[in-house]
Amino acid sequence: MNLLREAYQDFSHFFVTYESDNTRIIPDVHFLPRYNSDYSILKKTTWFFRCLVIAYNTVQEQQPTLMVSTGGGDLAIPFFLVGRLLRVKLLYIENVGRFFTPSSTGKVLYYLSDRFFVQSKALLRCYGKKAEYHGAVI
Amino acid sequence: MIFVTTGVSSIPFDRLIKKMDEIAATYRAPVFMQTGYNGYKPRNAQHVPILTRKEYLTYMQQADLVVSHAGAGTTMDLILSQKRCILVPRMKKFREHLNDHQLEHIKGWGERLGIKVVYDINELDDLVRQIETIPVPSPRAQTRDELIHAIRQMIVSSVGG
Repeated sequence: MNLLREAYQDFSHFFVTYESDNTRIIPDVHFLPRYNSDYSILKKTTWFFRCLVIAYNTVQEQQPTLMVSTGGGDLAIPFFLVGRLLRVKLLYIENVGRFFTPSSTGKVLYYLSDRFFVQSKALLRCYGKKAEYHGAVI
Repeated sequence: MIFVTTGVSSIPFDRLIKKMDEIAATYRAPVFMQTGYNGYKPRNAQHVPILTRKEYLTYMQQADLVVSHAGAGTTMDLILSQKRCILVPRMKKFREHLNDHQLEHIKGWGERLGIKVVYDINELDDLVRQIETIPVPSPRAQTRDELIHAIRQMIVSSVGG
């Protein structure tokens, strides 16, 4: 997202990511708890609902008009579900490392997002008509 | 100096560390490795399990060549700092990763940005002795500007409507 800052820096905005040494210094940042694939099913479910609650509260408090995500799914899926419910415009940008096959996050968020960008022309064929190619971040 | 990094994965990447350790024994310049906590420890090179982000960027900047696992984060750092590099994808068949997802972005970036990718670890012996033949990746500035423009248009239209 930092490489795309020219797109949004002139508009008021906030960030959502995981907490780490590098992200604590970002202004206006909100955190979601980190997903761990070793969690039991119960812990995964609890994690997911915790994320939904945080996402709901954050969106209610900040009242964004648009949410943009480049993934990963553990951040984007809870926020886009809440965003859909609260009628926030949603733009998902498929991971820059995806050239030939869709990501599982992409497959889910294709249906939730208002607009859906891919960063490789070859991917347009993998998704439906909604997918758009407008270049890549690198 | 050659900087070798296997990212921050908990899964060892011994195939790369062992080969670079073997090379370091006779190499003309120092080799420094970020190895991760688990797996083989080099004998002929300075090494640490993990570097802070700042230290990692300093080593990357100072190195004449970076030999790295093909993690998406490291690969992006290398492209953005336009650093001469060799990428070695972790492979599921060697139990270096849970899946072969590193192979996809590497094929894409390797072809489009001219990054040297090595699948057969033994190719490294010759490659590190002719560094100048290894290409330096460069980001595609134009495609990013187009993407920024498209996002900006969507922001403007959603703020307006």
